[in-house]
Amino acid sequence: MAEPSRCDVVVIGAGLAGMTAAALLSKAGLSVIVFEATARTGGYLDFFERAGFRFDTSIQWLNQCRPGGLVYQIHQHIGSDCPDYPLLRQIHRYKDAAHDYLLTSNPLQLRDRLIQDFPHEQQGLTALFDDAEKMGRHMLFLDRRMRSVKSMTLREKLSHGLAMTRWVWPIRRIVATRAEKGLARYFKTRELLELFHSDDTMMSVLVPLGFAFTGDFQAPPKGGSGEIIAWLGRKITAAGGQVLTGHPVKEIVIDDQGSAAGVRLATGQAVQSRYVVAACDVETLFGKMIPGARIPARWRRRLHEADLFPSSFSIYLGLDCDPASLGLNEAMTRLTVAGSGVYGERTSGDPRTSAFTVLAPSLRDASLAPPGKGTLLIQCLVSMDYENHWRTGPGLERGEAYRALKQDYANALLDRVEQALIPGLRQHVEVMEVATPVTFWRYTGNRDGTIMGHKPTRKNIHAYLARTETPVKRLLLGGQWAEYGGGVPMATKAAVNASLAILRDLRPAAFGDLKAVVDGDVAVTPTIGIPRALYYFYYPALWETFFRALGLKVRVSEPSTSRTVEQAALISESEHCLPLKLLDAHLAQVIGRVDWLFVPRILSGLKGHIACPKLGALPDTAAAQFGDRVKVLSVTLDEGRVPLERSLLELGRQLGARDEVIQQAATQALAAMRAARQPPVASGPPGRARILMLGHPYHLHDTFISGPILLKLKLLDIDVELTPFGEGAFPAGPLKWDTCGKMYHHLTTLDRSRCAAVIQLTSFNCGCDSISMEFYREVLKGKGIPYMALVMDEHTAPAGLETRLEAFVDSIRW
Amino acid sequence: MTALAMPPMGNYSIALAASVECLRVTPWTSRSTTPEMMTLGAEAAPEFACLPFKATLGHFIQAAREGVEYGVMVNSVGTCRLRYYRELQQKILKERGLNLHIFGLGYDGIKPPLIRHFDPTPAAFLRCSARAFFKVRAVDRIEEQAWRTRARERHGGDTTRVMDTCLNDLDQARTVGSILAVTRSVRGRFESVPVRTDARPLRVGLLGEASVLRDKYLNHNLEETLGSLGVEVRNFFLLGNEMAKIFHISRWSKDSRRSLMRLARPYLKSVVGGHALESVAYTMACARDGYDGVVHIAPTGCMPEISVRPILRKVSQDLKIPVLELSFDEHSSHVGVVTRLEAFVDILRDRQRSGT
Repeated sequence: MAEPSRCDVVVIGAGLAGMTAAALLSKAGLSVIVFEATARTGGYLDFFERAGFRFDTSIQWLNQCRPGGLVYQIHQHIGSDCPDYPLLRQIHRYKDAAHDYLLTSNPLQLRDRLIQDFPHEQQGLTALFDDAEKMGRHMLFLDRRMRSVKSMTLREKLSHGLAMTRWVWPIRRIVATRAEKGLARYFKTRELLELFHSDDTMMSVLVPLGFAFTGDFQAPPKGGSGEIIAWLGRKITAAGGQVLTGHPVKEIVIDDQGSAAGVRLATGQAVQSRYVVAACDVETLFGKMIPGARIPARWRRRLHEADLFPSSFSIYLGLDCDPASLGLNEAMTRLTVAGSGVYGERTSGDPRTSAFTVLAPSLRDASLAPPGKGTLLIQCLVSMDYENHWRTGPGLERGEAYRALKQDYANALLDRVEQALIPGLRQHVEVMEVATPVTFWRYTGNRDGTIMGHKPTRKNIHAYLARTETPVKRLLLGGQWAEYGGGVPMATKAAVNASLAILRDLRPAAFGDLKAVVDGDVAVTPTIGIPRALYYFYYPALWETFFRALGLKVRVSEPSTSRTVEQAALISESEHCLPLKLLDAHLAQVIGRVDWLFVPRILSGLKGHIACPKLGALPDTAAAQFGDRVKVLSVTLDEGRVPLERSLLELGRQLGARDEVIQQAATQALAAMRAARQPPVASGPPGRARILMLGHPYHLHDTFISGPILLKLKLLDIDVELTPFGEGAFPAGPLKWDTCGKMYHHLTTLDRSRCAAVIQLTSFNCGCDSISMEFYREVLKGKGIPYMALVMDEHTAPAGLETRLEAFVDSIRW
Repeated sequence: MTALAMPPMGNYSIALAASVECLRVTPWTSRSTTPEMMTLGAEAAPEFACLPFKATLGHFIQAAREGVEYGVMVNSVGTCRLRYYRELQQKILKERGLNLHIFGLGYDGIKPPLIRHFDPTPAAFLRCSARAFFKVRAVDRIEEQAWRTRARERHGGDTTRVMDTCLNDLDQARTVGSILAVTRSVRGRFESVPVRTDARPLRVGLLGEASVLRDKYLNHNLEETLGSLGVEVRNFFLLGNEMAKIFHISRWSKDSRRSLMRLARPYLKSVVGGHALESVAYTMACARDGYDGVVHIAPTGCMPEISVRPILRKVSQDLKIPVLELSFDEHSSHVGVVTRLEAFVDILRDRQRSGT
């Protein structure tokens, strides 16, 4: 195929970052060519197949790929058919000879296990997990702060600076503290210290726990992580871009003004372009592709001396049995040797003392192995310089000594797995592949085969290594080397920032779109499920309008029918009142079709009043019942103290929207609610007396509860008025419950000549009404207005209701 | 001397009675509701009112019939129905032509109406408060001993007999000195009960709504039934803790609202009302402290307690602690309750044996 000699952007490297940048840029209408030196796309995110088994080379778990996370948002922006990342429940298993702990998406289980085993350290453990939870919530904030300063206006820079300062301030001590010192603040027991002591800073101890609290752990998509690259490739091609493998770039072409003007391939062919994005190894770029004098020597020295993440020694096993039968679960098991608490020993790379991980990818995704079989991945972090560069020659050429070391190393790890976790593992092995740091270096080209590039250490940060721009104009870094750390989120972030810089210059409109996605102004898709029950009727039209104005999709459950009620009886607490039971059924109805369930906590719906106490625990009960299937979105509504508008602002912030956007949405939503709360124009001739239907909004407006009664009254030719919402203040009555207070007040203003009778609609086990009804009865008795209470529950028969209504209507007519 | 009707609060009634002596009134109270009171209350109360409402109303009606002029009851400012009970009961009594004035005890300023009306001297007030305080502590001591001993006793009923004598002595004690003497003697008295040394009692926490937890009649004598099945119970409604919470003097203790909120946070992020938060928090504490099970009891339709039951179920599932949920109303059958308790204890025994 003849390569075009001109395009808008050349991307070097077809790893995740390069492919993401290419997809974003080609979506914006730029012509993009990706050049990949090796024969395959994917870089680290690659896979290989052996005898029906499929192995991901490196990615085991991911962050920020769930709805709302950066990767998810960007993928949704690229195309809504993006891969789906299953949430992980079992995350981490800590195992040594004496202990076996499991970290799940409910980390408190681990905490309580630990407290059971180390009762004397209860205080420290509680404090550690509390801090981890705080840290988790803290990290959520960063989801929205992924844009590099380069693409900001001055005003944005200032507010970004302030926000980051506010972010760093509460955790400044944690960030700076070394793990051994930080952990000693919590506890003294050596075993516990060893358990958590997996990394060098306190930050890296707390962040994974924090992610567990916020549930931010995902598995690669179905079919393995290669699916992400394959999908990005399809998107690039569909938008007119090209991905060319086996095309090593020889050098960057630099024009007279000192900016990049294209690349020259190893074949000698030159491709002109307006921008070049280098998503490849940074030392190769600066050392081989650019004439040396262009890069300041100091910068090159700093790059060379930077702290790097280690590489990895990986063993890929195809097993003849299901790994579950060997006692594994979807968690990643971390094996340590008890007593090797010193950080150096654990990470030395020595296969006999190092900590390493065992994972069975096929337990998360059965499609990776033939039926009845499974895959296993053993991974030990080790650096390239282990044993004199793995006993390779001066040019890293591999010989006998290398192969022998590789075999010994693998055997040592397998021995430990057999000893500590899976006795007799070797008998089950059908396929075995081994990768050393040298292998990773050969396939990815990254220096020393490092898996995540620069470490976020103080030294690196002071050297200012992570940056998108280079000394050569129009040449941008777009891969993990443009960030501290690596992995899918960081590579995506780097790609996004490189793309933003280019779009700002070449496609301002697309720049605005992408910027909004990264900043979270457009929440790309999440669908919010709203149950048509309880508070839905108290705040009519409010929630749909609000969420839609924020750009979210909304799914409101269908109106109650007798089938809803049947389901409610099955799944709900039997002693709940009918509206609460209906709530459960409505929630169950939308589950599976929404990303979030919206369930507010209602403490008060009216100034000077309180809400029914049952509404104070709604989000918690919803989470208890459905939390393992869907996320619960909640906000506290306490109108007695906090204006509704402020609560909406808080709700919007949880969804990551900007304050101005939320403000607009809130105004719109409140207006819609006020309109919906207006009583309908009264039916019938104005002079005619009417029957007042008294009840909570969730009784009066629910089709199942009030529908048959309203219909019957209509057939009896009775004009009916529903209790109005009654905006505005009124004198305090004896009842402090919001809706009851309103009803009581409305009754005190009733006029005998206009209101022929009052029918109270209530439900069985309604606590508020059981008391309030005595007060209503007294008021109405004083006014001489007839009063009847209809108590509804899931068994109420329509025939009985009709008879009672007919009799009552007769009694007031005659 | 005028009489003052005080609704039963289990054995704490002894202490409560002592606290009002300074008002120069005779306390009209008992340690548990009687069947007659229940009948009277159930008949006069609104149909859907909860069990404690009916029990206390019955208590007041009977008191009024016996010529008692005054009554007192908690008038909480919380979110639950209890807030309106005094007012509503007063209304019902008036409608029935019964002349009994109920004072409310709530946040009514420094001098609640009750104190304002009877106006005790400060010295008498302090003296009685001290007696009441020590009596509350003595009751707690007696109950703790009874819970421990009953699960191990050799002959059924011994513990209850010892307990009754202790309580009667406590009731008779008039000075702080004699109250402390009774308190000191409690341990010795219970040690005289012959016990089975090989007993391996189950430990079960009792949680839920306060008056059902404490009133033997309303809860069908749950504590003794479980005790005789070889279960060492712990009743988590302790008046001392409750008082400390009301007067905000237990900020740092593990039973303070603050620590309970902290404990329950993963499952419940709001106080809800009543003792709902306590129910969730203590269930988690029981799981952590190795209890064999929890019995959660509430009056039928109790607003706060019922609303957290789905959460209790989740806690039970997550932390692997069996929770038995019992709801009581005036129609609950004693045999039905006992059968459910026996079945529950059987399950716990099985778990104990299989070591899970």
